[in-house]
Amino acid sequence: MTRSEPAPPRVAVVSCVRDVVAREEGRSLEEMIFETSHRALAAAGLTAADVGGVVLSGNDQTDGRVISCMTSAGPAGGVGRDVTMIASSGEHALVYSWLRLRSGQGETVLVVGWGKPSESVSPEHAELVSAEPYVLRAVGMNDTIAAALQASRWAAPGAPPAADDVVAWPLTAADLPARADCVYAAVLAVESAVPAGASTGPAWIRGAGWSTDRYEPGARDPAAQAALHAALAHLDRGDDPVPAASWEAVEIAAPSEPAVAHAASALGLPAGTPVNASGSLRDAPAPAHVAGLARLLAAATTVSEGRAGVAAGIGFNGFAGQGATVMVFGRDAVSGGDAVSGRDTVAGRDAA
Amino acid sequence: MTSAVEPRFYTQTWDLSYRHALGDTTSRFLAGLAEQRILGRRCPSCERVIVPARSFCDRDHTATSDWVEVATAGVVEMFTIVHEAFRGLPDPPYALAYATLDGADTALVGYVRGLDLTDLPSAVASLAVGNRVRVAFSDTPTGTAADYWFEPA
Repeated sequence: MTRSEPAPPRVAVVSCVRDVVAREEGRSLEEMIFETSHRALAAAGLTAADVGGVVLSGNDQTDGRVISCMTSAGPAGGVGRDVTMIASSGEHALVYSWLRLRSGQGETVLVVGWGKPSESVSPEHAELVSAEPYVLRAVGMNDTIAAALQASRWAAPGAPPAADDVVAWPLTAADLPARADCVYAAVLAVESAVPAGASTGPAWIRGAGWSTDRYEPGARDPAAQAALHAALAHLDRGDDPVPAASWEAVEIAAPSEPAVAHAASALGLPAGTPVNASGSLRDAPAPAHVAGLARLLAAATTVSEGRAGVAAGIGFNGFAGQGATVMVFGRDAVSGGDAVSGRDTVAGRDAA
Repeated sequence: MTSAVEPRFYTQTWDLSYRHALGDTTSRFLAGLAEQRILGRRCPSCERVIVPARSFCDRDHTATSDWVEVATAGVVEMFTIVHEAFRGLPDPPYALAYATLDGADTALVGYVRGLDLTDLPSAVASLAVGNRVRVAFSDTPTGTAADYWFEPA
């Protein structure tokens, strides 16, 4: 006999705030986390006491901390409730939070992701530790060099070298992400717990997919962006797939602008679909660890501000885009819309 | 009531040391460099020859089975010529490439020497994806991946 299982609850981003400063020297990281978390909760009409769980994500190697959830739980409002830290990448914290609520573990989650690279004397130096310690570390690898290696696969034969501002051929400074000190915080809630007092309306999470490719760039073709295609296939296996052809806006965090362009071109988007309307990698700075979370939440904001009915965020992580995550947000909770819609109460939040 | 103060900072440097166990496979790979040999391992499932040698194939989640010596020449898969200084890396400019050596199925990373990097167009043309390079070895091996590099073939 087959027992009928209840459908997983629908989940929405009900508030989303960010604190982005080129170089924050007047506040500690924990103060930034506290202020941003507090504002995200307030925007949802909640306090820390109302939240069912807290999910954190930071890049401890560049921030100069270790197992930083120990010191960050307090400023994030996590004392007295379950706190989990996701080390792989900031966007995975959002995915984990979504899964947590879909599985019935609570009704609300506060997600907080951060990076404060200004506290590292040399963030690129810290990135060297990301190379495996057997062969690659003796050579040396950082995000910029890995991005350039990937981009060389796309450089046309005979293409003229970049101008004087070349950082690592074929990439110039304009092609590469800029860093900033950032904290992003969002509150997720299940349908029955979308707070009535929220100053922002819900951006419903319509689905997500994520995947990881092989670590070594030499063991894969970084130009193929296979992790993205696997993530899209994962997304398609969801219970309410939203094909890219129906996305009205896309936000992409990638190792370089050529990587953004190739990812966008692979999606099969309708002509004219805005890509990275929130800014180029240079103009919307974020350290790599939190860049994906930033773009996913930018897509959610695009929906919550009414600029698109359906928007997707894409984040790559790891050297030359080893991993990829896709999350789709909708003004309506399901295809075609139904009784659940935040259209009338939507407003964006942006503290930058 | 307290008055505002200038931001204060606490500068710290941690001198942490690690001693990573390389395992048998990587140890043999690095020992091969001192003999001017590039060694790979074959995956029994996909039959790819993985270079640098790994004890497992992460595509098939299978233990590799056989040692394979590959050629010391191959083709460039990707490359860059770095012009910005990064702490902990060589003074720029320098070139870095991944090349698939003849007989291998994955690409090996290494610096590229023997190029005039002050002539960027010429250096880029020499390293174009698909061009051939050869492996050169240090006369004074250190037992690390710094014991080899690529040169245009």
